Amino acid sequence: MIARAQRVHGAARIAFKAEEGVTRLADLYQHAPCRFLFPHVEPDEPAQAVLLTTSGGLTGGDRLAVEIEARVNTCVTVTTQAAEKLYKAADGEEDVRVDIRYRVGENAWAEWLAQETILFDRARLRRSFTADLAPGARLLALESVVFGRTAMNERFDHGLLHDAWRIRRNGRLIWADALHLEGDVAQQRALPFGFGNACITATLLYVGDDAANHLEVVRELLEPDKDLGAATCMDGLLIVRFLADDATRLRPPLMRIAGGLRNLATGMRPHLPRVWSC
Amino acid sequence: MATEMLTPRVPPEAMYRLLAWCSPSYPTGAFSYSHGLEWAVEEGGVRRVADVVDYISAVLERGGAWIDAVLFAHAYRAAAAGDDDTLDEISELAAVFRASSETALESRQQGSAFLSVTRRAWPHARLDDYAKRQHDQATSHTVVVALSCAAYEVPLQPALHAYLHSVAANLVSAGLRLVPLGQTDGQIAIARLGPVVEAVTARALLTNLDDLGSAAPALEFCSLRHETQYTRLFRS
Repeated sequence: MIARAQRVHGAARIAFKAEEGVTRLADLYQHAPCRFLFPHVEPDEPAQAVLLTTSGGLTGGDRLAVEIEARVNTCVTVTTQAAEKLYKAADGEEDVRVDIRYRVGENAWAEWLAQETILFDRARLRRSFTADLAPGARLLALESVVFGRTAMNERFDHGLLHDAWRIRRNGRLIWADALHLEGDVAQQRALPFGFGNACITATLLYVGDDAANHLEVVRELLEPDKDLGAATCMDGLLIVRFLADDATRLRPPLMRIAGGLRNLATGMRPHLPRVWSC
Repeated sequence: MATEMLTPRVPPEAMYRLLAWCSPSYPTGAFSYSHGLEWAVEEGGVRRVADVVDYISAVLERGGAWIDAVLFAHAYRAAAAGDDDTLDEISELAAVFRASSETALESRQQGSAFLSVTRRAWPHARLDDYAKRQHDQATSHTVVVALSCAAYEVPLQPALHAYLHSVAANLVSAGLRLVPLGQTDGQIAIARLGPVVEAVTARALLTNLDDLGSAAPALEFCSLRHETQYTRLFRS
């Protein structure tokens, strides 16, 4: 009998509350390989938690479930320590599942600024990002997926990626989206009006009553990189999509536009958390 | 599921309704939407019949019409089973499973028009109940056509096939005006899209909601960029 590699079932729950105008940690549970770090931040910055996966990558059958709660009036940033790597799944193994759930209380400002997810060939990933926003709550979320480290001559040519978004506000679903690639992924990406030569795709989302007010400025911010991204706005959502043939080339505009949107919506400095610059 | 794969017999009165509902003359305003094709023509990505066929194939196989095809099948089954809770859940999902403001408008405006015209011309308690439950919330074209077909016992497989044909034919018509192309080229495109519509219908009937997703970001970019296109004939 062949010994099966040990599978990880990581889980983390984190909650923040506001006390006298200051956002503090209210609750924390973490189960390996999920772990939160709490870097020092300037007083005018949101409280920050950095999610780390200590296993150094995920493979067949692994599961991560992360629940984040930004309670009433809090100001919270959650980001990831580094790019998440998804390794080849062995035949017959279950898909990797990564589920991020964000609850945002009334008048809270919440950020989910994940660094890249890198898919190795024959990786199988089902990922979901679900957010529930209370009245007056706002959310800035960023996710990106890289189809292999092309500089290392690695390509995600076969496997599965199901990347789903579900956003609810005041109990109602306001946006659903999913990217689904399965099987001969290289062939599907190359189809007309598919991915062209792109090896990275990213989605930046802003949810708030004032979303429509920022569309024109976001389009101006996109102008120098307009071949890489485009924006739309509907139902209190501002959505910016990116597609690029070089992950390192996309990073500066991604940081600039996510930072710009944060600044437009809150007046905070247009910087992303320090882990993004390391 | 297996019985759906056999082509069921369509009773004559069901056939008549299906032809009417999926006809370009049904007043949903379909002619004013191009699903981003107008931008693809503008930037030079679509110049010939073959490009029009590629664009529409991408919409059907991996784009917005693929999402609608799968949601159509699920909405139809819930409606046919009298399961209003599931139908309303799929309806909510279909209203917001949209990549851009213009493709959302395209689906919701056509959905609202289809629902109000059909309730007048082919009144049915199921349609009235649905409209009442929705409280005039945004609906989607795909779910209201699926519900109407289920209410009037048009079998699912031909219903979805006809619905996808109408989506394809409407985009071909947009392509003729935009590129522009002649009427014969239009029919050449329709003929070439036949196997695509047939294959997408068959695949949509077998796809569960956990696997529902698109895979054509370049198409989405056409729609996003259409929003800021300087001169436009179409609303999407």
